Amino acid sequence: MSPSPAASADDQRPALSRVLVVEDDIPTWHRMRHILLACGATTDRIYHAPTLREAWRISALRGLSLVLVDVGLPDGNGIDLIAELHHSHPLVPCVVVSGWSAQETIVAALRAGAAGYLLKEREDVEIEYSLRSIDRGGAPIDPFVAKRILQLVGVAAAAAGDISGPPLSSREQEILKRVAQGLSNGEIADLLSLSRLTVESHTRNIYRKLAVKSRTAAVHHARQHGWLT
Amino acid sequence: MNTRRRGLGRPWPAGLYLCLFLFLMLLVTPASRAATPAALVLRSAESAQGREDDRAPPSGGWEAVKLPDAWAARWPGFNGVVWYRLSWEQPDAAPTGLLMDYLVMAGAVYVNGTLVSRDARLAEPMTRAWNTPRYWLLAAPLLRTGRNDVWVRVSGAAAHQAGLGNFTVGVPAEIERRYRTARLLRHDLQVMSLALCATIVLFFGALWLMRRQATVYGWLALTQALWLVVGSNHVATSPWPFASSDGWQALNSAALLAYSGCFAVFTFRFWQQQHHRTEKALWVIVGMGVLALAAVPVAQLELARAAMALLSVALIWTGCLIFIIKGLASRQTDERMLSLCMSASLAFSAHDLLVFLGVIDSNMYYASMAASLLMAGMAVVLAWRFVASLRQIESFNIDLQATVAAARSELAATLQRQHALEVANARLSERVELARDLHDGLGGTLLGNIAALELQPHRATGSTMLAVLKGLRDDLRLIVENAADHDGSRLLLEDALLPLRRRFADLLQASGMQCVWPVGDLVNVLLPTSRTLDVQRLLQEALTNVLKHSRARVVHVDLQRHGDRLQLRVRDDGVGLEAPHAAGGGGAERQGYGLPSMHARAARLGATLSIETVAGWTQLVADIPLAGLSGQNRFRPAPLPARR
Repeated sequence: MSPSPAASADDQRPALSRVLVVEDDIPTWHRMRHILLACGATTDRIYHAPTLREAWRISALRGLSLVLVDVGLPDGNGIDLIAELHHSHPLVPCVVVSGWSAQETIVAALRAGAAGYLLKEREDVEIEYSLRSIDRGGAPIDPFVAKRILQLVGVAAAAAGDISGPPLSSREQEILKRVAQGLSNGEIADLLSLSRLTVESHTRNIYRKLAVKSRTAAVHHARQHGWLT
Repeated sequence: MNTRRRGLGRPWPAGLYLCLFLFLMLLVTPASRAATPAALVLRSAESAQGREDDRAPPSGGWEAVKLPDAWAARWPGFNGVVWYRLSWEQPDAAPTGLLMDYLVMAGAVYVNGTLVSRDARLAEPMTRAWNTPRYWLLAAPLLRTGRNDVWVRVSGAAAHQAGLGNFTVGVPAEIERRYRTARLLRHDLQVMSLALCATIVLFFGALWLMRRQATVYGWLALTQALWLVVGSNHVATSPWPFASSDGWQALNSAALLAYSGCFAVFTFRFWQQQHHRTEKALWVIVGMGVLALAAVPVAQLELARAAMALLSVALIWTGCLIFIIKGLASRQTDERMLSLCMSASLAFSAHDLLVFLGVIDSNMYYASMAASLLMAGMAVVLAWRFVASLRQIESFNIDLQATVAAARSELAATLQRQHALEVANARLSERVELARDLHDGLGGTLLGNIAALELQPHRATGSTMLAVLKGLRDDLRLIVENAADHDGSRLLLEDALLPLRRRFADLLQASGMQCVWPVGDLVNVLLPTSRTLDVQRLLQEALTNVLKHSRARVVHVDLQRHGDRLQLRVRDDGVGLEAPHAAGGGGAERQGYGLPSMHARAARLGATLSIETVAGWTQLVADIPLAGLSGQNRFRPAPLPARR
């Protein structure tokens, strides 16, 4: 698809300044690169790692601003990478780039500290939209993820201690409920008298709270819930 | 007096104690007769008939008698007052003890002409002093050096074995000791025996009341209740509630007879025997005996009572013998113990019978002691059976627990199998469902595209193929999303459209278009998954078209239900379509590959699809029937039966 006509030209956003794409599929890598460029990233600041090992190497050397991680990699699981990066570089947003992944995998990645997720099968324009949102400090969120997080919050209320991090604020819960009802971020912003930017940063905060504290705990948690096999 | 008591008694707990006791008893009487320096038993006396109003012994008519004496042998049928005269030699006037074993029935005692004792009532209903030993400490002023006289005025009836028991004189300490022994045997032990008896009645009576099928306990309680009447003869000091001793004696004999009958029945029950005829005959005999005792004239009362006593003893002995024989044959400790107690009772009752018949020269009866024996025996039986029942219950509990555990594990295994089966079925059904969704959803698009490309092979260019593949991809994603979102064959259309709504609303807004899409107009529209998919795809392609090609500022999305039809409307103020219905026509910017696909889906839904451009608004309207369309779906082989 062609790039969105609304693509703005304000490039060099901090998040897009140094982007690592961890992706073993070459056509997908090229597609992502194309989309990143459309979003305003510059060619020499987009790095590619086809394996986990390479990703470790690059992440150790560079001061990254964003990491896009495919879940299924030749030498391991991308969620492990996310958990490790979240632990060592908590300020660098890691975003899942998933193929036909189950919803559980996405939620597990969020629990590991992912700042968002992108579905490969979506239109380029959608992925671009999500990347811009991440760039602005927001995060993409789908109704099913919102529902799942609301369930997790409910479970945590029943059995305190299961969920790590601070509890969601009532505003955050309100936003999740609206997302689950199918409202767009713009509609939610109108409804709650907020700016769209604020709504997006709320969703990022929700993910941040969802992330379990340590990498071990995240992997353990994911395995316990059958999100990783 | 009375009756004998036979023996069932009630006991004291230990057989050993009993044996000792028995031995002591047999010893006591002979011992008192053996003259010792400290005590002298007065065996010789004189007696003479007197009158009711006598204040002193008569002057004539004296006959020498041997103590103990019952005057019936000498003066048969004499009822009234008889005087006795005894004397002993006193070397000095030192204080002396005097013991009188008993007198029958009531009387007064004088020492050297001075009254030392007088019963409360010397005429009917007279005091029953027959079992009351007396002791006096005679002070010096009352005594004389040399010969001392004792006068005894006795009121009684020949039929009641009226007469006088032994007198013993001697050192006060020794005489008092003998008195205490006599008091113990004649009174204290009797009272205790009655108390035990009452205990049995209460305990076993309550047991029987709460467990009526345990008739053996009921009979035991009844037997012992009757024995209470019989045994009270030993401690009663007045004939109340009767006006005379005759009535009391008759009641006593009748109670004994009834007791022996009950005892016999108890014996049968204990050994779990039913002898209906024997028991009937028994009750007839007992009833006739009781009636005879009530009706017989006073003159014949003694004879009747003797006969009834013999009958009673015969019955009791029969019962005891049954116990002993059966007990010896039994292997159960409790039954053996009871038999042992019964044989002791047999011995007691034999002794008592001899006393009653005057063969043994005494009026001491031991039957009440035998009651204690019975008590011990029954206690053992009860404890034994109680413990046996407990063991049975315990072992039953263990068996029950084992059975329950086995049943539980079996049930758990069954449930597990059932659960596994259900899971397998659910998986199978999910797979079937997914397969059907894939077939109906992807299959439709696939076959439609194949047919189109076969008709116009020249159209299979790269961009066409890309559009086809993307269409298939979108179908696949929706199918997967829908599969993850619900677990039934039907999905609320409203829920299924939520993700679509959110995605496109955001995208349209991000592209600078205002999206007006009211939520909540679709109340409870349920569609089969494959039809939901077609609606979703129709809407998605319409919105994709708007997003990519319309350059609109406002988009209205509207889904409404009108009865059994669903109306889908997408309206925008964009550039519009130049040739809306030309499915294959080239050139139109918005046409792309979406329109034919939308028409194909509308056809599968049985919907009418219209696209029109009016006054700057481009409007796509799909009118979709909600029911009865499965036959029009050419890619649905046949309606499957309801899943789950």
